[in-house]
Amino acid sequence: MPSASVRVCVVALTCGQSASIAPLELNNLVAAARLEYDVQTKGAVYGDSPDDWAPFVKGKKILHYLTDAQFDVNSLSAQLANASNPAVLDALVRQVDLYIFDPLFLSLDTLYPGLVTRFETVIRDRAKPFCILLPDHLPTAIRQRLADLCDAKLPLLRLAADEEGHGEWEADTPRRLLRFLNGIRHELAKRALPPSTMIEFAAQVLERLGAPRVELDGSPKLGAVRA
Amino acid sequence: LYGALPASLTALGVIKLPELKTGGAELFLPLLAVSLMPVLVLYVLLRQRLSAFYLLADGLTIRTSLMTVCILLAASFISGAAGIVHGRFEGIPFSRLGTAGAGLVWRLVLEAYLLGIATLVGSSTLFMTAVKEAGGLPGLPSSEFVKEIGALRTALAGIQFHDVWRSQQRAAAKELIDHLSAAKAASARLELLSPPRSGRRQLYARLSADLKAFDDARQQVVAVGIRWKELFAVECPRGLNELDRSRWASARTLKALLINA
Repeated sequence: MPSASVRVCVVALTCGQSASIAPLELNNLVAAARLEYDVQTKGAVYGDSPDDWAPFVKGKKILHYLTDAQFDVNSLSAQLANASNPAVLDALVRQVDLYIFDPLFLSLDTLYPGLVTRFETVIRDRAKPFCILLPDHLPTAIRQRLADLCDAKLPLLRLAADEEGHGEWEADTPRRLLRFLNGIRHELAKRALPPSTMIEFAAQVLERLGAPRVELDGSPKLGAVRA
Repeated sequence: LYGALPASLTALGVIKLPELKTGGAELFLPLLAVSLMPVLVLYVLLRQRLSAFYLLADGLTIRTSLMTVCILLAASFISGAAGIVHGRFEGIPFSRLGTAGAGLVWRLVLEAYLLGIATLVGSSTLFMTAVKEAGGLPGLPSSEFVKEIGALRTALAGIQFHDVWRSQQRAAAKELIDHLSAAKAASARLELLSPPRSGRRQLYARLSADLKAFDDARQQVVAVGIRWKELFAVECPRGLNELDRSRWASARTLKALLINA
């Protein structure tokens, strides 16, 4: 299976940020569930980079799932820390092909004001693929709280996931995530096909249907007369 | 080996020993001064050869000095032995050398040293071939190996001095891609030409990995220009994932290589 190149932004916490997640009530919930979802210990769930997020299995980072799905990953996640810089923000909204959200990140409103809303708008406007991970091993109370947070912070994406099908609202298992990623890979591969390949493909289909082959070996010219 | 061979040939009578007058103590300093010129030539030639045989210049002066001294010691020792075999030191009481006085000992050492240099530089085309020519002698890197190292050196220098280190716009430059392709090809060939499980093979395997990681970083910058500030930064930025950290480290390694001129 050929690999596909993808520019990804993992919108997740880092270990340092996980210590200061807000609101306090959520922080308490996470702290209470420490045994199941240890957000404080570096390397357990979070690391130095958003890409170090291990949502399902300890040690298996989010990028590993992308490489499992045959993606050649170009990650812009480290740039999240510089999102206050307009040039960086511009790159994060224009050049990213796939966004993967950690619901806990949505609680960092004060640290990244307006950032999530920008992502939501661009994902919706340009029909970019996205995925929100809500691991099924989390305690029900936390899952419910995180789901509410997603509903409140990303209302437009809920619609995009349900009606337009270019997002995964609650990927709760690695298998579901992988299925979504495989679908995205095919979609991106189709988009990446050069125009000439598309034309050739269409010509072959028409030929099979019995239509005469049309030569498209040059730009149309005004006044050109076929001999 | 090739340095000590001429002295060994004198012992076997293949090469005739030159006539030297080392009898008087007053000749000690002049002879030593005269001998410095061939030693210097030997050092320079060895340095040139080592530069050609090795990719990096780390410790080149120390390596060359050490090798020069070793060759001189070996040549002197065997020349001294050749002198004994050919009766050059007749009348010298070797069994009582310890009590014969420092003057006599120094005279023997000096004579052996001078003969060693004379045979080394003046008598052997084989040794001069070993230190001057492109290689091909047993135990020395082949001419093909030396040629590939030359190509790798040129390509790596092209990468090190490229504008990509100063501007993200240059990440897609054709000359950089050409340098990278040439460096990858030469490194892969050198890896194959090196003995299995040797340090050389490990070096070229690691260099190939660094070149691939550098190319990955370059392609990432071509796809997303803003990533240049991460992957080509002088200090490793915070927040990079493991793979990008290794790409950054490979890029810095290539930039910092001390390549032989």
